[in-house]
Amino acid sequence: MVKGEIKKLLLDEVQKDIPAVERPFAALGRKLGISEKEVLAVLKGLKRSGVIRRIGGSFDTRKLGFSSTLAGMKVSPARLTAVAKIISKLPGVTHCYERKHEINLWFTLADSGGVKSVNAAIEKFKELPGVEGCWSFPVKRMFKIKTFFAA
Amino acid sequence: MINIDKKIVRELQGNIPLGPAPFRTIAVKLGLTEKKLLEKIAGFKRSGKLRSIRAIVRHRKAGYTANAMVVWSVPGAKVPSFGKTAAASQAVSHCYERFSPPGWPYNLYTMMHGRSRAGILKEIEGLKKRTGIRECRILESGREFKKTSMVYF
Repeated sequence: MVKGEIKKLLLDEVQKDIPAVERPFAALGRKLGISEKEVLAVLKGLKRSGVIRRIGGSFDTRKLGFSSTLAGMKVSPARLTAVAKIISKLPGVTHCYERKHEINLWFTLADSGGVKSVNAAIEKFKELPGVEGCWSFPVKRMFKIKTFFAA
Repeated sequence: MINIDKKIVRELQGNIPLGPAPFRTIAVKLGLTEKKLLEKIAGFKRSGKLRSIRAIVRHRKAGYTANAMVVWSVPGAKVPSFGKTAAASQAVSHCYERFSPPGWPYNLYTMMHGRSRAGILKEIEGLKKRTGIRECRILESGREFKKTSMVYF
């Protein structure tokens, strides 16, 4: 049985980097003084319980040739859930949140067709019933992407 | 992107197999040697296409239940120093300067996560003091409708 403290360290470690080597989980285990088998058992448990959403590659969307933006939408409260569901169905939308503001729905949008496609999609969204406005807030400069939540 | 690169992205954009030799499993599936696949992955990392292979947590399930997007109005000359100070904050996961549509004065965006609402509010006050920027709006997260990873190919 792996102790809670080691589990926490492992969760910290796997959020940073899983090395692309022949036995990555054995390498992680060596760092923490546990076996490859134990590493795999802990990770499977964390996935089952839903703490870990995914174990895989984290790509730079732009460098793969996609354009992306953050969009904010003003939706009439009665239509918010319905509109959010329509937006969330799109494969280019990866994050979609309600926020407590006049602009009450915020989502990310990526498209392989360039900035034009992204903007065309935003224009289309404005036609959805209940949508009173939709704006794009594309990145000008990145200061930080931290993808690490201390356990 | 060439076809084999797309195939590799396709294998990595979801979940890698949770077994002792995940890259060998993927290599076999793609008809590559494990060595070739590992070289390809190293190349993706060098070019910046692949940031890392890692675990992605559901922050709400990991105890970070208070989440907000805070938008700041920062004069052009102060943008670099604000960005640097905000990036140094443990509570800030993402910090971007963004183009603003007309009528929207906010140009800096910080995603903030904490174990309590009070903790986030305290950190926002701290950022105001350290940066001298007072004008901000806190857009607290409500319902999460979607949080997933991009399926590229």
